[in-house]
Amino acid sequence: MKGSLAFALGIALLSLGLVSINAHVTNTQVLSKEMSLSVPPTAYGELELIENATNVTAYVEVVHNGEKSIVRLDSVIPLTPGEWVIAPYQEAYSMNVTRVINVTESLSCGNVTVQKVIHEEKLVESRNATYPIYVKMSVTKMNLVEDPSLVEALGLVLTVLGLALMLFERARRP
Amino acid sequence: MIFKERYREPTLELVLPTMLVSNVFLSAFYERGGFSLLGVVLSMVPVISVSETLAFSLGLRNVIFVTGDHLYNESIISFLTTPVRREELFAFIYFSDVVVPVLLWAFTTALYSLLSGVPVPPLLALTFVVGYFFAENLVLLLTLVFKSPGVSTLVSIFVLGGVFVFGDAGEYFYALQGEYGKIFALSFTNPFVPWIITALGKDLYQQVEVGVAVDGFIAALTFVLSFLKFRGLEV
Repeated sequence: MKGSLAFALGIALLSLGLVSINAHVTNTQVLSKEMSLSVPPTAYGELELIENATNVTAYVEVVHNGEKSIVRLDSVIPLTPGEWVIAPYQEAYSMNVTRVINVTESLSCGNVTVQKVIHEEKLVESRNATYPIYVKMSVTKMNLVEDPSLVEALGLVLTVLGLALMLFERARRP
Repeated sequence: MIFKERYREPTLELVLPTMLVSNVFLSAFYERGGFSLLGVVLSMVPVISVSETLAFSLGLRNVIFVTGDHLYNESIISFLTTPVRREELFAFIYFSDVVVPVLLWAFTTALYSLLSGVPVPPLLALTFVVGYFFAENLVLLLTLVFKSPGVSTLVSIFVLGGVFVFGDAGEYFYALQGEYGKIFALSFTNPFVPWIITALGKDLYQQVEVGVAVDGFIAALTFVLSFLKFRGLEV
């Protein structure tokens, strides 16, 4: 009984070590305020930070396990295990504004004040994410266990041990 | 002897590895849920989770079709006449019927969680364990009262099914209506509904805790009642 139990558990552990989830899983979120993400040590993938609007330069603060870095969009970061905190840092975009100014013109009949509309380009900087920033997490591979080789070895040992025990029990039985 | 009768040659060999391997849904749901609490909660809901369902069905099989069958064809007499006190006999039967499956579940899930690094909140595991004892003790009491596997199967299907289906419906109804205070009254029927709502972003931990406490109280009550019933058993 002990032999067959060890054999069955060994095969289960062996399969846990050998198999991984290979389906491509993506998850897109719009970054409006701080978001946090905890990635288990079994996942492999990448994190894409996308700003769709072409006239906007956006910066995002990425904190990974306490290490802070400021990333200019668009960018792709490898998704390594640990705690991630992503927050909008700064965005800058140029804006066409129209302004009405008073201009005094000297004419032959005297000075006249006229209003003029002028177009000018203004650089707007803000801390808000006015233009949507997309955080696209894609996981390409997910192992079932943290240390596949260790679990495989354990499973192999248990399988062989169980098989030997089973044969031994069978041989001893009259 | 009682243990050997319930876990004969292929039972443990089939159940234990299946429980261990079927926890892959924990990883799969966790990945799909974007590594959030929702994935873990969904994968721990009984019926979705294969290992919890296995533990449940193993316990129900033991209670209804082993102990209940002994009561029905009166072969329990041979156990009752052995020179063991009834309290000890009840403890043996209860341990191997009800406690062993949940121990197997706890062992495999803890092992998988440790190996894969997917964190399972302790309150979530406790919710399942308490709910398990609630259902199993209720069924044990019904089996001891009716003394027939067929009748106790049907009655337990209706009782547990009614509790889960109508309780769930009520909880979802109040959740959709936004009347979260009323979930306190119903959370004992299925604490996993407030868990799901919590994982979706509403803080209903208090409802879960009240539900688990009420479940535990009912489980203790039915345990004591079935112990008294077993002690006064006349065959």
